[in-house]
Amino acid sequence: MSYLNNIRNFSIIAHIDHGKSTLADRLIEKTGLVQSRDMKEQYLDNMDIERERGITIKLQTTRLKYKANDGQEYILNLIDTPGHVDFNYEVSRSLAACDGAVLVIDATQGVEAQTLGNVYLALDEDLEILPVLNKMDLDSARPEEAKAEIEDIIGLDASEAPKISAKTGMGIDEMLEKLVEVIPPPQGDPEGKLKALIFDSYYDSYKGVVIYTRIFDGAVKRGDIIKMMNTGKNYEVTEVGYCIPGMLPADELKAGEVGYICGSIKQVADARVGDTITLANNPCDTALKGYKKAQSMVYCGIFPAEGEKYENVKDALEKLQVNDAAFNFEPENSAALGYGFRCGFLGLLHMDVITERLEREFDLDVITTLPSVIYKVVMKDGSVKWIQNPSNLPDIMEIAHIEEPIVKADIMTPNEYVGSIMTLCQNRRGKMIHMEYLTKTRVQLHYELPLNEVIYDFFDALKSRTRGYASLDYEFLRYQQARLVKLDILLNRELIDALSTIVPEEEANAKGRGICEKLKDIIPRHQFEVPIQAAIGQKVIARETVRAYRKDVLAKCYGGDVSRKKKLLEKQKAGKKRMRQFGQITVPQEAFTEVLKLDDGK
Amino acid sequence: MKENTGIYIHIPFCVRKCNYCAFLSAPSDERTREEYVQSLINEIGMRSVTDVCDTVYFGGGTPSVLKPEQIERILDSVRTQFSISEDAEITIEANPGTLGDDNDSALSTLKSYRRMGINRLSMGVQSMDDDRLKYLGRIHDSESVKRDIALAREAGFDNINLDIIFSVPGETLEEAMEDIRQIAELEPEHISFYSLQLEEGTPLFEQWESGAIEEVSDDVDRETYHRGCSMLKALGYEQYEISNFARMAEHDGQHDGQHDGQCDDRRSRHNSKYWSMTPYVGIGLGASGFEHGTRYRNLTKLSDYEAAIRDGKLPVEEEHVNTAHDNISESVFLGLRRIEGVKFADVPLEEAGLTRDEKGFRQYYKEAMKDAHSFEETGHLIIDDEGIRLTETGIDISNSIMALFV
Repeated sequence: MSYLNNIRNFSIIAHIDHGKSTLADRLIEKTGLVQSRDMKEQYLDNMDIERERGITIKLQTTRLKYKANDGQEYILNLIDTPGHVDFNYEVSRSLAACDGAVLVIDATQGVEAQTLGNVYLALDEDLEILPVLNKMDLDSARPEEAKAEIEDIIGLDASEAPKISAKTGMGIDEMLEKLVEVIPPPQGDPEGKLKALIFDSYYDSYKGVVIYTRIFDGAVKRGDIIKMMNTGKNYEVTEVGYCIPGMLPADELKAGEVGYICGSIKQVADARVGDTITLANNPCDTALKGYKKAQSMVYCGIFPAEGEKYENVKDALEKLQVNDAAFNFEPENSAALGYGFRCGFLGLLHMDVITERLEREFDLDVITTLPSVIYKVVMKDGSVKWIQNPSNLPDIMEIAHIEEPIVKADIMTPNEYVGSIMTLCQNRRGKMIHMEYLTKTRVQLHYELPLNEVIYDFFDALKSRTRGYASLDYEFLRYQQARLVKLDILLNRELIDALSTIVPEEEANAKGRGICEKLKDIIPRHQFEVPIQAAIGQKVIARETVRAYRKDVLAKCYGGDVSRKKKLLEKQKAGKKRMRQFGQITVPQEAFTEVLKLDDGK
Repeated sequence: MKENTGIYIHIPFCVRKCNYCAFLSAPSDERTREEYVQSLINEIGMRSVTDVCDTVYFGGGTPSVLKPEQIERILDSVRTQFSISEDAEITIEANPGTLGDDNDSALSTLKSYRRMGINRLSMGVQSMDDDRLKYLGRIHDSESVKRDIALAREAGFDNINLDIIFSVPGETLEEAMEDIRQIAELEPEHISFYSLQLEEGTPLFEQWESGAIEEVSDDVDRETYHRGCSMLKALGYEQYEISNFARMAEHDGQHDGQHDGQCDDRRSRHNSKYWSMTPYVGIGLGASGFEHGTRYRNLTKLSDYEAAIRDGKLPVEEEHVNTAHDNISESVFLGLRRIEGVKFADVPLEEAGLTRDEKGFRQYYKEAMKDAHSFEETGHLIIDDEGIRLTETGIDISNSIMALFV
C-alpha cells in the first residue's frame, strides 16, 4: 500500500473567533512533536500582533502524527489559514495545498458570514469538508441549532459532526478519527516530474527565503536545481524538511507531502507565493492551476516620518513583501510628505497589520496616508486611467466620468439589528439587493456597497451597532459610474496633497466640514492662527481655524524640583516627534489616517 | 566665579490646606511637628557640604506654624553643620495670620526671627480681595496682611516678598490689576506674580473637572500677565524671572563707596540658584537638592522619611547623576526662565567636548537651533552673539521653546 494512504493534508477553516487557533493548539499538543510545556498559547499565531488581536494573519503549517484506532500511524499536515475577510486570498492558497478542511463552527454562535465565505473557497478547491461543533463546554452551546444551520444554510450533512471543546480537549480524539476517515489521502506520483505549490514563504536571515510547499508530483532533495515556473528563475536546493512547526531537515520531500524548501533565495520577489516549483532539468509540462494574483483593493501612501531613512523603509517593505504575496508597493513622491511608497493591500486590516509591523518589528517611524480604492477614470479622449492616489486625479475638464469599485457585501445578523444595519448601509450609499431569513432569528442582508465606504470604519460601525453580533463578508463585484469629486485640504493656505480624498459630489460639503472639524481637534495650537480649508478645485467649501497658542508656561519651578519640570519638557518634546512639519505647521501623524473616520451620527 | 551653595529646608505643615495647593503639606499636631523638627536636625547632621553656603530657605507648607524656638534649633544645627557666610540670605515663608494670636505675639515671633538671623520674609498674600482669599481656602484676610507687614517692618525686616496669584477662576482682568495695585502699596522689596495652576488632586481641580468652575481663558490669563508685568515695572520693580520681580539698586551704586550697588539688589539669591545650576542642599520631606552634579529628592511620605532618619540613613528617594547632556540642557531651560536669558558662556559645553561659546552652542544644538530660529522669526526668542533669551510673548509659550533644548 502506498505511503500516500497514511497522509492527510488539511486546513481548519472558521469564522473569526470560532476557535480555530485554539483547536490547532490542541491538535499540536495531542499529536505534535512539540512538548506541551514548550507551547505558547496559540502556537500557530506567531506574530505578536496576531496574538494580541486574536486573529491569524500569517500562515503556519505543522506536521502531526496520529495513531488511529485502525492501528496505523497517520501523518497529518495541518495548514493554518488566516481568519479575516481581508485575507481570503491567503486562505485560498492554503486550501489549494489541502485535500480536505475541518470546518469549525462555534456551537454558541452558529453559522456566520465568514463561515460561508470560507466554505465556498474550500468547495472551489474541491475539498472534502468535515464540520465540527466547537465550544461544547459552554452552557450556551446549542449544538442542534448549529447543526440545523449547517444543513440549512451550507447544505452539509452535519448529523455526525464531532462535538468538541478545543479549550478543554473534549472530543478531540473522536474528531481525529473522523478526520482520517472523511478526508481523502493525497494523490500524486512520486516518480513523476516535480510539481509543487508554494503556498507561503518567509525570509529567514540565515537561510534566505524559506518556501512552504505541497508536493503534488515527483520529489525534491538537497542539491536539486529547481525552477520557479512563473519567474523562470533557477535555484539550487540547500535544504528540505518538515515543519513541526520548527524546521526539521529531511532527505527529500515527495508527492503528497508538505514541508519546506530553502535554496539561498536572496531576491525576495523571486519566491512568489502561488508559483509552481519544478526541476530545471526535468520540468513538468504545466504549472498548477488556480493561481490568481492577489488583487490589492486598498491603497495608501507610506512615508518615512521626520528623521527616518527612506532606504530603511524600502528594505522593510521588501522584507514584508516576501511573506505576503498580497502586499505590493512602488515609489511615490508627495509634495507634502516627500519620497515614500504607494502601497496596495487586501483591505484595511491588512493595511493596519503592515504598518504596525513596520513600527514594531522594524522599529520604523512612518506616516500612512488616507486609504483609497482604485478609481477608473474615463477620459474625454476615450482613454482610461486607473487612479489609486486621489492627488493624481486628472483635471476635471478632461474627465468624461469616474467609476468606483462596488463590492457585494453579505451581512449576517440577528434579526433585531436589521433596522440599524439598513440605516448604516444607506448612509454608506449601499443598495440592498435582497434580504433572506436563514432561520427564524437570523437574517442575511445582501448589499452592493461602494468599496470606498467599506474601507474606512464600516466594520467598526457595524460591530458597534449590533453589539458585535453581525458579521460581514464581501467581494469585488464591478466598477460603476459615480458622481465623484476630489476634495482638497489646505492648511495655512497650502494644499496638503496627502490629505486629498475622492468623495461623492453630494456629500462633499458635509465631508469637507467634517474633515475640517476633525483636523481642528487634531492639529495643535501654534504661535499663530492656522486656517484649515476644504476645497473642491478653487472653491472653498468649509473652513475652521486653529486659534493661536497663547499660553504654555509653568509659573513656578516648585522648590527647586528641576527633575519634575524636566520630565514635563521631555514629554512635550517626545510628543513633537510624532509630528510632521509643513512649513510652519506641525501636524500629528494620526491626522493622515484619523481624519476620515467620521462618526456616522454627525 | 564659583557660586556658593544654598540650603532649602522643607516644612510640610500648614494650618489648613489651600484649595489650589499640591505641595507636600498638611495640618498637624504639636507632637508631629516636634518629631519632625528632631528628624530635620538629625538629617542636617548627616549632610555635609564643604563649600560656603550663602542662603538658607525655609519653605513649605507654612514654616511659621513652627514655634520660633523650633526654627532656631533647626537654624542652629544648620550653622553647626554647614559653613554659613556672614551675609547669608536667610528666608522664611510665613503666611499672614500664622505669626501669632495677637499683635504682641506676632511681633515677638518676628523679632525672634530677626534675632536668630533671618533677614528675608516671604509672605503668601495671594490676593487682597477677601472673597477671593476665601475661595482659595486661605485662612487670612486683607487686614491681617496689612497688620503683619507693619509688624514685620517694626521688627526690622527690610527684605519682604509678597506672593500674588492671578487667573483665579471667576477673576476679571480688572480685579487682578487691583490686587497688584494694593499689594504694591504695601511696598514689598520683592513680588512673586504667578498664575494659578489647577493641579491634580486639589479641590479646585476637582471642581474644574466636574465642570463646576471654569478656568480663566488663556487669553485673559496672558493679558493679565502682561499688563501685570507692565504695572509692576512702572511701580519700580524689575522683572528678573518669569514670575519674579524685585527692587534693584536704587542708588545705582554711586551713592556711597561702602556699598557696591549689589546691596540694594533684592532679587532672591536663593531662588536664583535654581536657575543657574548652582548647588543646593535639600533637607526635609520631599525636598529636592542638587549637589556634586547629582539631583536628588527626599522621601515624600512622612513615616518613610522619619523611619529612614531613625535608621541613620539619608532619606533620599530618587537620585540621578547628571550626564553632560543633563547639565547642558538644564542650564539652558532653567536659564531661559531668567529675563536676561542664558549666556553661551554659562552653558557647560566643555562637558560635551565643545567650547563654551556661540560656536559650541550651535554645534551642540544643531537641530534645535533650526526651530529656535523660527521662534526668533515669530518674535518669541532673541538670539544674539552672547546668548538666547525669551521675549515677553516668548514667555507665554516658554515650554515649547525650552522643550527644544532638553
